[in-house]
Amino acid sequence: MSTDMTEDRAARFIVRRDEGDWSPTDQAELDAWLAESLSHKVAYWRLEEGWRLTDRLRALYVPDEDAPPARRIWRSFAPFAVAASLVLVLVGFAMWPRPDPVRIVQFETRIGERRTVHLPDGSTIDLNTNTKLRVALGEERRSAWVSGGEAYFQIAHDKSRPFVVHAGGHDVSVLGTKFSVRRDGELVRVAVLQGAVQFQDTGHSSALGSTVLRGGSTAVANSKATIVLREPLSRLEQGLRWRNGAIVLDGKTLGQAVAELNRYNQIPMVVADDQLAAMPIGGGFQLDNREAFIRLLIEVYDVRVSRTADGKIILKR
Amino acid sequence: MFSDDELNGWFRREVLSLEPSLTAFLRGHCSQKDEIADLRQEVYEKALRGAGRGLPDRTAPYVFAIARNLLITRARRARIVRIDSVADIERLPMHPDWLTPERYLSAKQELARARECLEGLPTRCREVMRLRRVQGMKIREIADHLGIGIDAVEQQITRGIRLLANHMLETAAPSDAEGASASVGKPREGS
Repeated sequence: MSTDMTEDRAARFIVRRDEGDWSPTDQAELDAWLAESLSHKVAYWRLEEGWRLTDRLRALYVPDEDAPPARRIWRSFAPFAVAASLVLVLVGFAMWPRPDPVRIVQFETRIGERRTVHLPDGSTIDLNTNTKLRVALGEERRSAWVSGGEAYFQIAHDKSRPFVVHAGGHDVSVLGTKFSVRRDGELVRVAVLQGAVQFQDTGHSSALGSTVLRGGSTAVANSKATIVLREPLSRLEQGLRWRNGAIVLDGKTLGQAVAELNRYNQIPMVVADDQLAAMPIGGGFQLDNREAFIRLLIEVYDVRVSRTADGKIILKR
Repeated sequence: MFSDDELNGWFRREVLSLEPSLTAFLRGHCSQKDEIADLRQEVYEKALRGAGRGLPDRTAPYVFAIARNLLITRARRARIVRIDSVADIERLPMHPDWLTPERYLSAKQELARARECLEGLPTRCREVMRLRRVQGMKIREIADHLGIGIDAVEQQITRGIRLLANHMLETAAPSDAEGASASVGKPREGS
């Protein structure tokens, strides 16, 4: 019997019992029903207790039925739906040195670290784990160089000074927009959330190696080729959840998920089993909670975990 | 082995007082919201079955451990792992808020809450329940008073008992309900 039906039956017993003409036969029927299954007891005891809690309603009894219901009293209790606690999120605020147009400033994050940098032109850059970049704000152009890692740029609009991000052999030029740049060696990935950027392979003459990327586009490029994908914005935003310390693993295999998580940890995990690596997973995950991820694999999927001499975490069936 | 009365008392006093936090916990870890009532029922059954062999020293950790194991078993059966559905169960730490019995209310607070629940019922059901619970009328009297059938009254009362009981048990009582304005925005300790 479903919980719903069991509960209904239990409630009917309570209705009858409350009527006042409850006989020993009725009690015997109830006892038999309760003895039938633990689920009957749970449902009956639970409803009885909840029902008992409304006993005090009798206190509202007024002989004259037309007396106005005292609405005001209970209304005044509504404000109790109150936020339980206030959480203050402090964003690392990088102090910018004296405005000095030609000065190049370097920002860096360690493995597992994140940081938000506010530039004096009103732009902000979020640095993901293990990222290194330099920024120079000149009179005629604004420049950034990504030497590795991943960063999300929200560039303040300034027609007179384009912002150019240099990532390996590729340049991303913008006037004002939101996009992310990720660089793993020669591989560069640019995702545009808003506005448009010009994506250029600096190894080619400008006409050949240049592409305009608009919101919803992602370009993946190495030194030989560039692929442009269109993706729904929601998906692009999922890819930026690291800015809140989270990661979305939807549509990934365990192998891919492990590779992603490894970016955030000094000690890498290794999936030593192809079948295990191909296991589909999904969901969202807090980046600082890798321990739980591993425990989950052990407990739910009977994955065995061992350590190598140099500390790597090996995952096997 | 315990008598049913002892089990019953323990269940009402210690297990049902966890219902708001248990429900919130199950909601947070199960994406199928219509399964919450079934899951909760299963947790209670397992809790009672285990307690029949001996009451646990501390009820809250016992009940939440059952809930956690149940969610893990469930996740094991799913084809695609939703990491978020189970991973954080590990963190299930016994949050102080979850362990405080939430239902120690003064008579006045209890009445205010019951009344709020009553007012929240669907119109017809509320009317019948008011006559039943507040005015103390019998089913027959309600039927006459409203000019509807006895079956209809019975059905509304059955429904009303379930809705009221669910509401009273599932929602946490305000922790400090005497002065309405005093608790607004008051941060909780230790979070």
